[in-house]
Amino acid sequence: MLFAFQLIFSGLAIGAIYALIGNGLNVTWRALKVNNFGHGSFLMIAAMVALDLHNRKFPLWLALVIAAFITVLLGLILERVAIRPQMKQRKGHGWLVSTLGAGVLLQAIATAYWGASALAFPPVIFGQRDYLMLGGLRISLQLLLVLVGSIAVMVGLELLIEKTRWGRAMKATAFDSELSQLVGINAQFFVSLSFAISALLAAFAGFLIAPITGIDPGFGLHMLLKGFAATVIGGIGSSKGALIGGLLVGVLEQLVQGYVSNAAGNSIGFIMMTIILLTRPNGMFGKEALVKV
Amino acid sequence: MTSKGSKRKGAVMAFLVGALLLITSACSTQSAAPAPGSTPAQTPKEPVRVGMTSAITGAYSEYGEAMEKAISMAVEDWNARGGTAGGRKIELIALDDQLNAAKAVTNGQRLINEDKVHALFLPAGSSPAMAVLPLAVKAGIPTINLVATAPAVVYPKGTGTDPYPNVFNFARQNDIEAASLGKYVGAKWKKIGLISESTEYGQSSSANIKKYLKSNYNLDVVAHEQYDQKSPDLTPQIGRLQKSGAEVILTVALGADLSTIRKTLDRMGWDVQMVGTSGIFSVSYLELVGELAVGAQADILGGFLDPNNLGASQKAFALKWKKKYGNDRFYGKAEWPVADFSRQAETYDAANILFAAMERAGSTDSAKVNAEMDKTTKYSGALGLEFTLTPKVHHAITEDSLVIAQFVKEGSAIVVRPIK
Repeated sequence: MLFAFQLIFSGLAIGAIYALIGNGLNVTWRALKVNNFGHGSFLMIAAMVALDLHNRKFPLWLALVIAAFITVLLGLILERVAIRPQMKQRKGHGWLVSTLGAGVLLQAIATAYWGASALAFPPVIFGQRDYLMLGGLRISLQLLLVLVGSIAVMVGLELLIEKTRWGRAMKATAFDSELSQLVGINAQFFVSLSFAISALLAAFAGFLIAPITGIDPGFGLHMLLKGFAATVIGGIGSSKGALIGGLLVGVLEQLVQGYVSNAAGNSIGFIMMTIILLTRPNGMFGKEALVKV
Repeated sequence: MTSKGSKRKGAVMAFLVGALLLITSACSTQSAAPAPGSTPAQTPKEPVRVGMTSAITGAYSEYGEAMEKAISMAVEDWNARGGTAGGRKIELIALDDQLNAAKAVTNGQRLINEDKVHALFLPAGSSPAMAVLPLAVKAGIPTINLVATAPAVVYPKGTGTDPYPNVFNFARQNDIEAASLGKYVGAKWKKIGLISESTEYGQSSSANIKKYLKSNYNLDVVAHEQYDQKSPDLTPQIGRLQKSGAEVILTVALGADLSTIRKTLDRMGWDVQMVGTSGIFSVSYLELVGELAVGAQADILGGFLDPNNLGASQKAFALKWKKKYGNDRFYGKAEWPVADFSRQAETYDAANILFAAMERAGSTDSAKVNAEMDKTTKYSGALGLEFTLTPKVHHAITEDSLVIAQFVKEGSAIVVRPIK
C-alpha cells in the first residue's frame, strides 16, 4: 500500500509539471490557435540562463528573475519572427515547423554554450533531502513544491484570464480578432501578451523541475511531449483539461511502471492520447471549436 | 582567318608550355639548392606521421583534448631522444570530429589516404570508433583504441576469438568491466538487484553482468529494472527492486539518470549499497547529487587513486603534465592529480608502446610494427600497471587493471578512494 502511495505522490508531482507545460501550450492556442513546439526548449533555456547567472555570483532569486525576463523576451521574439509572418497567410501550419525549428535552434545554442551533459541546479526553497513524514510515507518537499507551485500558478493564470479586463480582452481577441479590434482592443498586443505568458510558464516549470533532475539541453523536449499529450487528453485550450490531463498522465505513468512494466508506463500517455483522439477529439474538457463561415 | 587563328593558338600554347617548364625548373632548382652556409646534406628522413581523430571541441571535448595532450607529450619525449623507427621524427596530425561518426570517417579517410599516416588513434565513442574501424582495418596500419568500450572494436567475433591483427585496445571493454563488477558483487552479496538504462549500452552491459554472475556464482539477479533516459523520477523501478529483497543494487547508468536513481533511493528512504559502472565517478554525477554520492562504489582504473601513495612513475608523469599544462581540468586543482587522471597516463603509455614497437621494428612497415606490438610484455609506464599484448590478446586493460573504489568524505571534499 505504501508503494502505491509513493507512486501516486511522485506521479502527481510529475503530472503537475506536465500540466504546467500543457497550460503554456494552451495560452497561445487560446489566443491564436497556435502551439509553440519550442516550449520545451524555453523551459530548458530559462533554467540554463538562471544557472549561468547564479554561477556568476548572482543571488539565486535575482538569477531566476532575470532568466524569466530573458525567456519572456525570447517568447516575444518568437512571436514576431516565427509566428507573425506565418499568420499573414492565414492558411496552413507553417507555425508548427517554425516553432519546432526555434526550439531545435535554442537546444543547439545551449549545447554549444553549456555542453551536452547534465548540470546541477541549486535548490529552490527546499533542498534535495528536505522531507515531511506522513505516516510511513516520506514526502519530498521539493516534489511537494512542484505540485503546489504548479497548481498555484495555473489557478492564478485562470483567475487572470477569467476575472480581469485584460483576460476578457484576451479571450475576445482569441474569439474574433477583427471584431475585437473594432471595439477598441489592440489584438496584436494581446497575441504578444499570450506568448509572453506562455514563456513565463515555461520558465516556472523549468525552475521547479531543474533542482530535482538537473538540466541539460535536450531536457525540455522530453517533457514537452508529455505536456502535449496531457493537453490533448484534457482538451486543447482548456486549463482545467490540462491540469486533469497532466495529473492523470503523471499518476498512471508511475502506477503502470510500478505494477506492469517500464515500457508500458512510458507509453501510457500516448496510448491515452490516441484513444481520446479517436473517441472524443476535443478531449475530456475541450469544447467543440466554432468555425466562422 | 582559320590559319591565322590556329597560328595564334599555337603561339599561346607554346608560351604556356614554356612558362610551365620555366616555373617547374625554378621550383626544382630552388628545392635542390643547398641552403646558404650549409653543406650539401642527405635528404632528411621522412617523418613518422601519427594520426588521431576525436572530439577536440564541442560537448565531448574532454576526450579529444586529453588524448591530444597526452599523445603530444609522448611525441615530444621521443623526438627529444631523436625520434623512432631508426631516427625519424614523429609528427602528430590531430583532427576534430566532435564525436560525430560522419565527421570521424571523413577525418579517417583524410588521415589514411592523404596524409598517409603510419599509425592511427581511433576516435572516442563507440559509434565514431566503429565507423572509422573498417578504414583502419583495410589500411592495416597499427591502430589504437583508447575510449570506445565495445569489444567488437578489436574482436569482431567477441573477446576470446581472433582480434584484428592491427587494432590494439587500451579502453576498458564492457565485458571486462562486467566481470570486474560481477566478481565484486557476486562474492559479497546473494540478492543482487540490477537497474539499467533501456539503451544498447544498458542492455549489453547488463547481459554481460548477468552472464558472469550465472556462470561464476550460479546467481540470478533478484530483479532487473530498466528505465528510459531522462526520466524525472524512478520510484516505480526502485520500489520493485526494494520489493524483490535486493541487498545491493547494481547500476548500469550514466550522469543525470544515475543521480535520479540515487535521489529516488533517498526519497524512498531505502538505505542500500549502490555499486555501478564507472559512470559513477564522472564529474557530473558528483555535481548532481553532492553529499548523496558518499558511499557509492564503482570500478576505476587504478594508478592515481591515492594521492598520498603515488609511485615514482605516476609522480614523474604527473609533474611532467603539470609543468606542461598546469592544473588543467584533467589534472585538477590540487597538488596531485584526481583519480580519473589514470586515463591520461594510460593514453601516454599507449603512445609510448606504439613508438617503442616502431623503434624495435626499425621502420614504419605496418606488418613489422604490428608484430612488434604483439611482443609487448609487462610494459609498465606512467600508469604503473603492466600491459601485455600477444597475437591473440589485443586488449591491454584486464580485470586486474580495474579496482573497486568508492566516494568518501575527506574533510569537506568528496573524493574517490579504494575500498580497504
